[in-house]
Amino acid sequence: MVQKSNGGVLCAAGIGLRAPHYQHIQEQKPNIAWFEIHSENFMMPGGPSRELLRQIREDYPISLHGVSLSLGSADGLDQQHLQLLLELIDDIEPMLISEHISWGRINGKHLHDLLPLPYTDESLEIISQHVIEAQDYLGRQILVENPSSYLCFNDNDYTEWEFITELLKRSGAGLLLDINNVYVSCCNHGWSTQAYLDNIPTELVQEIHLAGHSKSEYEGQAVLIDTHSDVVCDEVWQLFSKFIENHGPRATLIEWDEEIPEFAVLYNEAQKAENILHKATKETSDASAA
Amino acid sequence: MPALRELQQAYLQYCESGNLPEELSSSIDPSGISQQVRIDIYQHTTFVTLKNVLENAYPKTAALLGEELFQNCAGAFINSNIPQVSLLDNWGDSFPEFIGDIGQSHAIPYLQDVAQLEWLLHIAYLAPDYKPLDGAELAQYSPEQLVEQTFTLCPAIQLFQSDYDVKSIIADEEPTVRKAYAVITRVLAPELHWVKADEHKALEMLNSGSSLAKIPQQLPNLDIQNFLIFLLKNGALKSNMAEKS
Repeated sequence: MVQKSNGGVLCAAGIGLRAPHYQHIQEQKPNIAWFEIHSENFMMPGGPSRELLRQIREDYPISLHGVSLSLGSADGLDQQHLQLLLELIDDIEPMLISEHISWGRINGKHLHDLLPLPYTDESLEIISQHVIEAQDYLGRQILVENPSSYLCFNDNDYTEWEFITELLKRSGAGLLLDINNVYVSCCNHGWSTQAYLDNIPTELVQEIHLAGHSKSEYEGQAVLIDTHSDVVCDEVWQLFSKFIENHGPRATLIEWDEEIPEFAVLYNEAQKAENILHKATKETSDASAA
Repeated sequence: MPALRELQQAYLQYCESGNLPEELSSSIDPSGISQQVRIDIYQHTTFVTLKNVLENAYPKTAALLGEELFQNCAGAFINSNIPQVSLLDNWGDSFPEFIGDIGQSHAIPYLQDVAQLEWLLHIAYLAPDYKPLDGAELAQYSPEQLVEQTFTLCPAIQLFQSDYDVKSIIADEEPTVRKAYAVITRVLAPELHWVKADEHKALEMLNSGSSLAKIPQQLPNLDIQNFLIFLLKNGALKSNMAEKS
């Protein structure tokens, strides 16, 4: 297992912790470097869920991945949500905390989706301020994840990678690079994956997400949907390998949220990622020794 | 391009009314696929997420309605009840009331009560942790103190009653004419106990601040000793010694 530390973060493969696998993980304690949770699934302060998480935390590092903070909302941040997140952080002491470059809340109503932002100066100013506010409240850096998207706005001031770069610069956040999202968005909008990955600040990438997607057809056109319902596709593995080869190992997560298979399927995907990370670590060590 | 707030409000308006505002559609690149179809990809995700939340919280209710009718009920409920909470565990409490009329019109008169029971099980699971009263703490009271003592039910404890035989209904058995009384406790996971009417009444009395002494006065047929043992065994009473574990 790769154990190289990147600022205290394991540069190893982890798996998204999901309910169908709780019992297996508690009983078998599989050889996995770390787990990631959806923060919102464990933010209620009492009950069996929080207790289960505490037990798993005794054996594994945990990272928190939020889906409902709505960093890009014109409403501002939900202070009660931030407080519950802070309490979870204090309880679990996660290795990483992340959220999305998206919005999902307006007029006090939560749409519970990762909705796209126009890449304008106004959006950039709003989301940058919210990331700064969240980091101040939580007392630590957060990572923000690049979105997968199915539409583009007309009057953008930035490309997606320019918007992300500027957001990281203004807020001091790190990047959670979801390589499946890069692939999905590039396919859906005709962007170049190489241009995308060549133009993000790779030194700020602290975590990578890998997942499977599905393909649908609308009005005769194929659209990739980020369903997290399948194995990682070959093209995404290639992008991941190349990224790791060029920039070194990172904490890497296998996500699976729909039609969740047996744990062994996710374990095999994590092993595949682990092999790529290990190879990069070995090559770096060999080069240093030479 | 409208201001971000206007754009976001326009999307919310679409979710609530089904009418796509011009300021939203005209802001989206139409090349390849129409704006409406692109927006509907997102709206579908929101609907499926919220429908799954209802299905997880109300599995028996969903089964009683059947797939198609549940889907229709969920859709109507979602459109008029967009969550105002960031945690989906806290959303869906008004679904039992919402489907009450549907139950009546589809010859499922007990539907609302079944849904209510499922919501109580849900909130019992999520309730804050509290240290329950145990035998050792109880032994510290003298008999005189004990009868005058009031006890508070732990936050996970939920009381349920119905004019329908919900016990048989959720067990997929032929319902009788008997009423249903239940208490939900939680030691590890929520546990549903079907109780007698006077036991349910005693729990209501405790919950409203009655002392133990008043219970036998009102409920002379209740076996108070066994009732107390049941409450202790299932961690139903909050410790008076420590506010929180």
